[in-house]
Amino acid sequence: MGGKIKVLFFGRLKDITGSREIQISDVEDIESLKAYLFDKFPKLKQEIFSIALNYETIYDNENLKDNDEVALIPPVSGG
Amino acid sequence: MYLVKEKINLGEILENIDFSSGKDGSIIVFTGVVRRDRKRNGTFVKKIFYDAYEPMAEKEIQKIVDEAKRNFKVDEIIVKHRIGYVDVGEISFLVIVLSPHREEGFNAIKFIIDEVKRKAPIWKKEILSNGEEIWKQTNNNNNEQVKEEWEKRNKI
Repeated sequence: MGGKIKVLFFGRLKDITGSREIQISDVEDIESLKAYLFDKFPKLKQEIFSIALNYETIYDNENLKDNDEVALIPPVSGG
Repeated sequence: MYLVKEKINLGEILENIDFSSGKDGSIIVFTGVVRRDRKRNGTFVKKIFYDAYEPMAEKEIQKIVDEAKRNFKVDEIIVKHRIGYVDVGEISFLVIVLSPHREEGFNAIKFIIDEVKRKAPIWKKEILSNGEEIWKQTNNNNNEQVKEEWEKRNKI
């Protein structure tokens, strides 16, 4: 439970947070991570994004452990 | 590697395809090229910056290729997507499908193009002639549909 988590921001979300990557510690799960991020970057609340945990899109809350990598994924526009 | 930083050399890629087996009667090539789209006040697109979550994008494209191979009678699939800055007129996205017959090849290539554009974590930012930079919100012109799909993922 908890530990060091890497959080990544892509596309326009990177412009909002001002960084591509942050490290945070002692967040128990995705829900509390989101609460932390919304508090730190209030503008994120207006954005649409999905969440990937260790390169897989997740649809439910998940517990976080040391060295997990979480990415905020805005709607994609490749091609 | 499906994501590439350097220019995509279509001629070289085609030259390296081995046609000698004689089993593939169809080779279909799709290239997405950066357009000089007109924008407000006489400005136009000068280049596109592609951002990607590289390890996840590689995995997602691999899944799409595997699924295409399972669902369509195709022999070889080549996918390349540029990341970083891509100038107008350059290839940003390439898909090549080799198959015994054209019909399966066309179905497979459409599936691959659509799925990569819908799923791979890649984002484009248009760089305009006046220096302005605009993140393209989505590939789908129906904003409500995109919002719905993304919110479904984001019930957490």
